[in-house]
Amino acid sequence: MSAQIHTEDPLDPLSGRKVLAEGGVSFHDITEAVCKPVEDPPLMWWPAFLLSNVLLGVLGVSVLWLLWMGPGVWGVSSPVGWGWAIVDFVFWVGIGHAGTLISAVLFLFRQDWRTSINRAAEAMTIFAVVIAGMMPGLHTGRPWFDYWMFFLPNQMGVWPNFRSPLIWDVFAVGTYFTVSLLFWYMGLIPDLATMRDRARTPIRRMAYGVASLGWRSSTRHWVHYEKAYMLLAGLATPLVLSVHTIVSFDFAVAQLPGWHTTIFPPYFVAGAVFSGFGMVLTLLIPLRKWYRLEHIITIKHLENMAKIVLLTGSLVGYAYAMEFFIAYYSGNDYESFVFINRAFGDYAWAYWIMVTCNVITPQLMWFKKVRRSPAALFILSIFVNIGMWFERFVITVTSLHHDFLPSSWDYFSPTIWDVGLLVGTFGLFFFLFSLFCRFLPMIAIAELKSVMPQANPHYHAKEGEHE
Amino acid sequence: MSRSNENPKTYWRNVATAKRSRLNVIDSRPGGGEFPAGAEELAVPPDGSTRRSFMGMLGATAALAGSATGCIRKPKEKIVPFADRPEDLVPGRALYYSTAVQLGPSVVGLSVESQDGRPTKVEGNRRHAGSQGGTDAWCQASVLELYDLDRTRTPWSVFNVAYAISSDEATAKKHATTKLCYDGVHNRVLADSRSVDRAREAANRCEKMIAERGRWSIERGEEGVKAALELDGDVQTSTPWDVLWTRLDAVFEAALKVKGAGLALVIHHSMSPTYRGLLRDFRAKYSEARIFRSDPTYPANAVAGAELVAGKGARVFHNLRRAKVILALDSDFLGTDQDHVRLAREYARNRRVKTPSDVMSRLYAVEPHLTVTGGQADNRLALRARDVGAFLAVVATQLVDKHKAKVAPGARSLAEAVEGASLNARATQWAKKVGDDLAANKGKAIIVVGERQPAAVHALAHFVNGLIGDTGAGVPGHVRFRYDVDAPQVESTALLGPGLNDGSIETVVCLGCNPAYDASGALGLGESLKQAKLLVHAGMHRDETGQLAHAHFPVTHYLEAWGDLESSDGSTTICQPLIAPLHEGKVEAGRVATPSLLEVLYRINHPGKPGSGHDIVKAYWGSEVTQGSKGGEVATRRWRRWLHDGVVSGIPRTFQVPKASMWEKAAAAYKSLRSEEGTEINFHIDPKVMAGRFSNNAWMQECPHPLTKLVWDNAAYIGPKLASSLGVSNGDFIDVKIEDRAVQLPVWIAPGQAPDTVSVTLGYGRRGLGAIAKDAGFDVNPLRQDLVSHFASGSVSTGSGSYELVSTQDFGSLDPDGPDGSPILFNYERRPIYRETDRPGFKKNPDFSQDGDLMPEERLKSLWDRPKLTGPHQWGMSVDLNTCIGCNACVVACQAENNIPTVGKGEVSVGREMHWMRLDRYYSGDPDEAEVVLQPVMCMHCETAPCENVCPVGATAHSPEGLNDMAYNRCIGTRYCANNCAYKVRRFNYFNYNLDLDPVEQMQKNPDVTVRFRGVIEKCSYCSQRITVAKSDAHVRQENKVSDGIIQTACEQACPTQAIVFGDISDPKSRVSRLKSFSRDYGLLTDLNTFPRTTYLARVRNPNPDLKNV
Repeated sequence: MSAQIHTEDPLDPLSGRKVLAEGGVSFHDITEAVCKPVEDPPLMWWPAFLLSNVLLGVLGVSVLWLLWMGPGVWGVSSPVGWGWAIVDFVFWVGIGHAGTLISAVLFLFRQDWRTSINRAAEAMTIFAVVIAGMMPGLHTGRPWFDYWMFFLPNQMGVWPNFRSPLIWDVFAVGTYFTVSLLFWYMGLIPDLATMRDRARTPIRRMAYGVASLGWRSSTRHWVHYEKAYMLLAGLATPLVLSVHTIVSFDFAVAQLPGWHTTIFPPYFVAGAVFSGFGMVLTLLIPLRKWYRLEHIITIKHLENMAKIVLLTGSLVGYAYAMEFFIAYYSGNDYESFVFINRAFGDYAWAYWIMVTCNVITPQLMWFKKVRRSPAALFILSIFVNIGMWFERFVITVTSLHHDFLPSSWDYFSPTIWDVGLLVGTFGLFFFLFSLFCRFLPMIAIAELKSVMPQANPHYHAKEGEHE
Repeated sequence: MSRSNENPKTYWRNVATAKRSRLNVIDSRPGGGEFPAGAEELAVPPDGSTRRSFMGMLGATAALAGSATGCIRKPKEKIVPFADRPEDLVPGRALYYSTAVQLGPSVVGLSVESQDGRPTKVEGNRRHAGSQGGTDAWCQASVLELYDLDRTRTPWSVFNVAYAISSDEATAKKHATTKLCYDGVHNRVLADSRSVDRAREAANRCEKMIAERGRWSIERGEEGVKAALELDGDVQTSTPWDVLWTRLDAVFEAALKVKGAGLALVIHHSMSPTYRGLLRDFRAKYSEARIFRSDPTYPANAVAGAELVAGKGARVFHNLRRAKVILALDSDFLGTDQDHVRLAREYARNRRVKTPSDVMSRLYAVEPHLTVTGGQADNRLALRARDVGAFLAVVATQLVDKHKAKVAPGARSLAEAVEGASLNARATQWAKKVGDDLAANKGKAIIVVGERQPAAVHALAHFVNGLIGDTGAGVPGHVRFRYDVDAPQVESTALLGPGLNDGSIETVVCLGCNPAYDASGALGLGESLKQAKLLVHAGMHRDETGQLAHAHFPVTHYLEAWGDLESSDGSTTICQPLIAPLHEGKVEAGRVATPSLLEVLYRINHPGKPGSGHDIVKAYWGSEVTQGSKGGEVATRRWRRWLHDGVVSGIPRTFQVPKASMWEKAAAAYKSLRSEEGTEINFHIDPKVMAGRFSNNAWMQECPHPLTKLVWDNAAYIGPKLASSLGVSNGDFIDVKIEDRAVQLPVWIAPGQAPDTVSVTLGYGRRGLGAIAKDAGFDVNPLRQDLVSHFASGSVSTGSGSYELVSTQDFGSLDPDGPDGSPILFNYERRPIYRETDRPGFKKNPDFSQDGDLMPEERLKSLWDRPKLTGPHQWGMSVDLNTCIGCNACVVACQAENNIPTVGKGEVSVGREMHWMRLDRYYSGDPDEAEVVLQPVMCMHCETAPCENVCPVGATAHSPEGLNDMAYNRCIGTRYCANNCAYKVRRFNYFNYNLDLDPVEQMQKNPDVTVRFRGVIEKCSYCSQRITVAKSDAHVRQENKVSDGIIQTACEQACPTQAIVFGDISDPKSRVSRLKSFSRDYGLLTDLNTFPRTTYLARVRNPNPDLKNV
C-alpha cells in the first residue's frame, strides 16, 4: 500500500503472473477500498471539485459570449476557418479512445489487468466525447440550426449532405458515444448493486437501487450479463477504429495540402490511443494516491499503460516521418511546401513542441525505471497531452494558413475566448469526473474480483489470510 | 402641390414631394387623417392643374427618365402601394437615370440605378466620352457618399437662437438661456472636444454673453410669454435655415453695395458650365471681391504647362486610342490622373492580343512611386520625381541629336535649354533607348506627363510630343488642346492667407472646399482663416473648415441636385437628381431642402432670392442654345433627350484650337527648374480617398490600396533600401521633415519606390470629420509647400514607436521560398498562379499559358465523373490579365451591388474582410525595381466545386447552369467550404456586420440581394440576381435564351478596361467563349480537377528588348 517503487511485482501463486491487487487483499478489502471513498470522500475531493467548478464557469462565460456575439470572438478568420474549437474537438475525441480500447479491445484479448483501470478510463471516454461533441456544435456560425445536420424529416424535404465528412462525424461520434455509454453502464450495474446494498441513507439506497436495475447477482443475471458484455465489447471494438478514422476524414477528404493524405486514418487512431492513455495516466496517478488505491492500480498497471504510450507514440512519430517522405515523394509542390512550412515556417514552434512531446519524450519510457515511477509517468503524460493538443493544432492551422494562393496567406492568433474555451473544457471534464469519483465506484469491483487469485477454484488461502 | 403652376420650372421637385406625401397615410394634423395626404391633388385647383395632369406628370417622369421620379423615401410607418400605378413603373424593377460625376479633374458620365426611388448603384454611361461605359472605384463609392451618416443635416452657426414659452417672462428667459447654453453650446463643445470642462466653460461663457449682448424679443400670447433670444456667440449651434439665410442675405446685400470689397470666395475646381457662368455673374456683381481656388485635385500644373506653350485658357487632354508607344512620366493616367477612366479604356484597346502577331502597345513608366500605371508598364524605371524633367530632356535631346527630329524654328531655344541634362548613367541610357523607340514609332507615340510634375515639364512634353509626330494641333493627335474660354479667373490660395492677415479680406465664403485642411502646410490657412470676420462654409461635411466657420451649412450630394458637367474633351452632361435632398432643415415656415452649390452661389449673386437648381441650369442652357441672347429656352424635347442620353447634343460648339507655339517661355521655365538635394518627399492623390473627399467613405477606406493593399490608413511609402538604412520595418514611425515642417508617419515598405524617396498620400488624418474617417491615417498636408508642388526635398529620420498598419495581403511572392531558395533540401518552382510571358515568348510558344500546369491533363484522375450540367445556359467568365490594371473599380462595384458590409480595420487585421472579389498582387524581381502583377480573384464557380461536397447541410450546391449557388438560409456556418476552397474566395460573417444599420444606410442596399446575417458564408454569385432578371425578361419576350451581352456582372460593368467578360460558354459565338478560345486562356489551379468556370487570359508584356540589360 505504500507509494514506494517496487522493482519487482508480487506474483499470483497459481498462474505465476503478477497479481492484480497487491497486499494479499481479500474480496471484502476490495469492496471496502473502492466503496469507502465514494461514501466518505477523501479531503482532496473538495478542492478538486471546486477548482473544476471555477473552470466550468470559464466555459460558461466563454460559451455565452460566443453565442451572443458570434464566432468572431475567436481568432478564426480567412483563411484559417477552423481554429481552436476544432482542435479541441479532435483532441477530446482522441482522449475518448483509451476508455473503449481498454474496456473492449483488452477485454476481447483477455487482458485481465484492464479491470483495475477500465471503469475510470471509460468514464473519461464518455466525458471527453461529451466535450468533443459540444465543440463542432459551438463552432458553427449559427449553432441554433445545428440540428439540420441530423436526419430529421422536414417540410422542405431537405436532407443533410451525405457526401460531407461532417455528417459522417455526426454518425461516428454519436454511435461511439452511445455504445460507450451503454458499455460503461452495463459494467456498472453489479457495482451499483453493491453500492445499493451498502447504502446507509434511503436516498442513496433509492438512487443506487433504481440505477442498478434490480440486480440481484443471481447466476442467471451473471450469464446474461456476461453475454451482453461480450457482445457490446465486440460492437465497441470496431468503433475504436472507426471514430477517429472518420474524424480524420474531416481533414483527409478535404483537398488542402497537409490534410489530403491517406495516412490520416491509422495515424489518427494511433494518436488517439496515445493521447487517451496519456490522459488515463494523468488522471489515475494522482487518483490512486488520493483514494489510496495504489494496491489496486499498481505500478504494473502504470507500466503496462506506459508501454502502450511508448508504442503508439512511436507509431505517431513514424507517421510524422512518413508524411514528410510522401510529401517529398509526391513531387507536389503545394504538398511539400506545407510540410517544410510546418517544420520551418511561422508555426515551427508549434511543430517542434508537438514532435518533442509526442515522439521524443515518450522514448524515455524505454527505461524501466521511468515506466515504474508514477511521478515520471505523470510528467510524461502531461507532455503527451500537450503534444497531442499541438498535433491537432499543427494539422488544422498550419495547413490552412498557407495553402494554394499566397495572396490569402495569413497568420492565426487565438484570442482570450479561444483560451477560455479550452480551459473551460477541462473545467467541464474535471467537473464531470469529480462527480463520477464522488458517486460511482471508480474501479470495476465485480470484474476485479473475478480476476483475483481468490476467484480461482484452485485457490487456497494461506494461513493468516482472509478467505 | 397646389403651387405647382406658379412657377412651372419647379415641376420636378414638386412631383417628388407629391409622391412622397402620397405615401403618408396618416397625417398628424387634426382631421388630417380623414383623407390621405395628397388627396387635395384629386380636387381641381383653381389654376387648372388636374389630377389627370398630376398622374401624367408621374408617368412622364418615369417614361422619359427625366427627373427625380423615384424620390420616394419610404417612411418607416405603414405604407400603401400605389393605388394607381404610374405607367411603366414596375415595383421592384430598377430604373436608370443619366447623370455625371466630377472626380477631381475628371468627369465621368453615369447611368444611375434607382430602386424605388433610392439610388443604389452607379454604372458608366456608354454614350459619355469620359466614361464609355466604364467607371472607377470612386464613382462606385460615390453612392455611399450620399448615405453618409456624418453628412451635415442642418446648418450650424454662431448665430445662435433659442426661444422658450412660459407663464412669466423671467422663467421663459431662463429656459431659453438653458436651451441655448446647455442643449446647444455645451453639447456641441462636448461633442467636438470630448472635454467636460471645456463644455462647461463654454456654457458659462455663453450665459455671460447673453447677459452682455443677448437680444431678447418678448411676445405675449395665449400660451404665455414667449422669450426669443438671439446671440452672436462663439460656438456653433444648430441654426434654422431661415435664420441663417436672413443673416447671410444681409451680409451679401451689404457686400453688393461695396462691390464685394473685403469679400473672398473660395471654390473647388468645378467643371460645371453653369457654375462657371454663375462665377462670371459673381465677378460682374462683386467686382471688388476676390476668388480663390482651394482644390488639391485641380490640375494646376497641367493647365499652367498648356498655358505656357499655347496661351491663356489653353487646356490639354490626351487620347490613347491609337497610341502604340506610351511614355508615362510620373503619370498615373490609369489610376488617379485626369480622365483616368477614359484613358484606361483607350489604353486597353491596344492590349487585347489574341495571336502573337496582333499589334500591341508598349507602355513605359518613369515614376518615383509604384502606381497602377507603373504596375501595368512593360518597362518601368523608378526615378525620383525631380529627375523626371531631366529624363524627358534626355529623351528630347536624343530625338533631336540622334534622330534629327525637326525642331520648329521657335523651339530651338527650348531644344538648346534641355541639352546636357544631368541624370545618372542608367536613367540616361534608359531615356536614350526610350527616345529611340519613340522615334521609331513616330506618329504612334505619346508622352503623358503626370499632374505631379511642374508646369515646365508639361511644356517640355508638349514640345517632345511635337517631335514624335504629334503636332498637338488637336484631332487626330494624341495630345489635344482646347480653350477653356469661360474659365473663371481665380487666384491661388497662397494669396488668401496674406489677404486675411493684412485685413484686406474680412469675409470668406468657402463653397465645397476645405482650405483649413488642404492648405494647412506652409500656407497655414487654418490659422489665417481664424482672422476672418466672417467665415462661411458650405459643404457636405462639417469638415475642418466647417468647424472653424462662423456659419457652416450643408449642400447636396451630386445625386440630389441639378447640375451640369463638362469633361476635359468638351462632352457635357446635364446632371439630374436621383432623389430629393435626404436632409431637410426645419424652419417655422416648413421644411427647407438642402441647397446645391449652384443654388448657394446663385443666392450669393442674388441675395434674398432662392433659386432652384433646375431653373438655374435650364436657364443657363437656354442662353447657350440661343448663343448668348438672354431669355432663351431649351425646347422640352431637346431637354428631355439631353437628360435621357446624359449627353448634351445638338449644340454646335466649335472650339478654337490653341496651338503650342510659345517655346521661349517654356525654355525659360525649364531653366528655372531648381535641382535639389536631399530625400525627396512625394505627395500623391490617394487612390482610395482621393485628397479627402472619400475620407469618410467606408467602402473606400476598406478598399485595399491597389498595390500595397493597405486599408484604413495611409503611410510613408519607402523603398526596401531606404528602410534598411533607416532600420525600420512596416509600421515603424519615421519623422518626415520639409524645411521646418515635420510629420511623424508610419512606414510601409513599398517595392518599386525610387531610391531615397518617400511617397505619402493625401486625404487622411481628418479631424472631426466623421465616424469612418476618425483615426484613419495621418495628415500629410502640414508638410506641403502649396497645393501645386507635389514633391519637395526634405529629410527622414527614424522616429519612435510603431503603429498598426493593416493590409489585406501579407505575402506578395509566388515563390514560397523567397528569392534565396528553400530552407533545406527541397526546391520549388514558382507557383503557376499568375502566368505571363513577353512578346517574343508568346511568338515562340503561343500556348505558353498551359506550361504552368503541374501535370498534363490526361494524367489528372478523378474519383468520380465530371457532373453533367444540363441548363440551357452555361455561365462562365474570362478575365484578361493583360488589360486588368488593378484599379479596384470591380471590388467596390461588387460591394455596392451585393450589399457587402465593411468590417473595419480591426476585423481586416485578423483577415475578415468581406470583399467577394479581390485583386491579388504579386511582386517579382529586385525589390527596388519590382515588377508587380495583379490578378482579380472571385468565385471560380468550379464545375466540381470542392466546397460543395463538404457542406454538411448542402447549403452550397451547383445549378444546372454551372453556378455554384449559395443558400444563405440553409448555411449553418461550419466554414468547411471556406477551408476546402482552393481559391479562398468564401467569406464568413464572423459577427452580425449588418446589425443596427441606420435607416439612411439601409437605403443604399440593393433589394435584389439578401443582406446576410451573422454566421453564414457568402461569396461571389456571378451576380445571380442580374441573371435572374435577364432570364425572366427573356421569358416574357418568349425567348428561350438570354442573348449574349445582356447580362453584365457588376464587376464586368464597372471595369474601365473591359478586362472581365461574363457570358454563356455553351454558345460558341458568345464573347466569353471567343475569349476562352484564345491560346492565352488558362484556369487557376486546374490541377485540382476543379474545372473552374472563370478562367484567365495570361499576360503578355511588351518590353523593349533594348532595355533588357540597362
